[in-house]
Amino acid sequence: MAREIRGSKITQLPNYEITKFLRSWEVDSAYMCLAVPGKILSIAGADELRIGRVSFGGIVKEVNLACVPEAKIGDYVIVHVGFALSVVDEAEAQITLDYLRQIGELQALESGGGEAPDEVEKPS
Amino acid sequence: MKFVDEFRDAEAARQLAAAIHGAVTRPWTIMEVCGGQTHAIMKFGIDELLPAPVTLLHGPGCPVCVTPVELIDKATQIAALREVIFCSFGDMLRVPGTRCDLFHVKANGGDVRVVYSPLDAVKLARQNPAKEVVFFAVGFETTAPANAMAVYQARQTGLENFSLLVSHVLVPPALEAVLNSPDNRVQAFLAAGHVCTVMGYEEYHPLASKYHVPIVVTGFEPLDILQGVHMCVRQLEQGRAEVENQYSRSVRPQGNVPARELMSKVFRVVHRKWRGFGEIPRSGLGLAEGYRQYDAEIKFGVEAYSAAEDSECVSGEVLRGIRKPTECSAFGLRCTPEHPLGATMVSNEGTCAAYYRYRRTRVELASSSPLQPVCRRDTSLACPERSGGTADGDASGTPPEPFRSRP
Repeated sequence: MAREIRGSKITQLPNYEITKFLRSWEVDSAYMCLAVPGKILSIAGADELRIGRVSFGGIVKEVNLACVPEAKIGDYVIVHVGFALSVVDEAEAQITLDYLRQIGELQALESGGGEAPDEVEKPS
Repeated sequence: MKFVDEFRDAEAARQLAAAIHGAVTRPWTIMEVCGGQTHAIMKFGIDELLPAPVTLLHGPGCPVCVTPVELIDKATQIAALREVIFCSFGDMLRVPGTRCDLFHVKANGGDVRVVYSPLDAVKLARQNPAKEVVFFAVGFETTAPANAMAVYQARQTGLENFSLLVSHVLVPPALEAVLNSPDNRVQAFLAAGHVCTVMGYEEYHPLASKYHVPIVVTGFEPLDILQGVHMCVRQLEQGRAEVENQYSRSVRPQGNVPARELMSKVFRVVHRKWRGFGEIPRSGLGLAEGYRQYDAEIKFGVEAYSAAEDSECVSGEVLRGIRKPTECSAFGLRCTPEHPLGATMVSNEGTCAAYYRYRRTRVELASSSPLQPVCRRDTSLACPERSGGTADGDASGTPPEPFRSRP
């Protein structure tokens, strides 16, 4: 078995077939460079010890807010390893979403029916 | 979650993918720099939504992956000391060193602890005045402010039993190394959104114009990445090479100024060795003059140690975008996240690990037997010892040894 596999070649496979094999490896652990947006519930301390309680979809953690002096309660901050890197700019987020919506409308126009395609075919 | 769910909308992703299909007329190769983006691309199957002429290459932006083996060895040497509490992000514990990994040290009685933040390591040092607490400060610019803050706090409060084993790396020199490589295929970059959140993107303008590559600062959600690709493709098709910011909800042109000031107080730019690249000049951060007493390499006298990379693992080529994980003969067979040959299979951001977890692949047997998916749990497959020369089963033609737990 092992001998045969060693001389093997890996090819692509449709999604559904292998997903079940990989399911058990889908561990949701913390990624090192991952930074996630969370909402500030309260703020205490000052300068390098300015600490906020930040909610990530209901899970609350202590976060150092020293480098986001402009952050206030209710703001969303991007947090990485317990350290806030930026305050999420809601207006800019809206601009991005508007851009996406415009592209969607444009595509709908181009496809003729005013309705988005069910799927996008990948040319072979 | 706000600012997450709306950037995962399937309908919008489909439309954006259609827009990319409509915009492409020629083959283009785009590199996403950050391992977090690689992970999202694999997890959400974004590469399969893209038109065939657009190839995504996976870049060197996984800090765990580019940490050279000699630093892992230094970490295991320090962690094995009786007076030391060695703290690290969880990703680093399974990265193989020359002889062993940090898990191995922990199993042998070393006090190795996984922490969520370097600031937790500072707290630990305060609670354990009789111990030396060492934090393994690995990361790109994203992690540097938090690590800088940890040392800064230690000095402000006169904490002497805390130190950092620093392996900080910087993105722009790595991009330049990729572009200067003779076998470079990259025509555009998706720059790492969180690195730019800290550093801004002003330093990318000279790169874009010197090498004539579009650079789009991109976020991490599926719609962010698709939009980043769309912006890259538009630039490429129009013959432009500019720096654009897709991730404007977090990234400002000048970055996070207080964080950069803190970093420049605590760190200085140094030459650094990268796995897969060798030494890149001025490509990393080390502790500044005033903070040398917090440098674990000096404190524990491991500065001079050096070690060569293992030759069997092709992670160097994967990191430079020359090979894909599936082009490695060990992938998924002799190298798995549980028994990795190299760091790219260990880290949650590593390209090989992302392919292993999410990629829809299977092994086609050399004989004409029907296609069979790989059963990852099949312990009759090879699982060689780290130290035993993992390639020798191949070379001699003998079957690899069956599964054995580590000694």
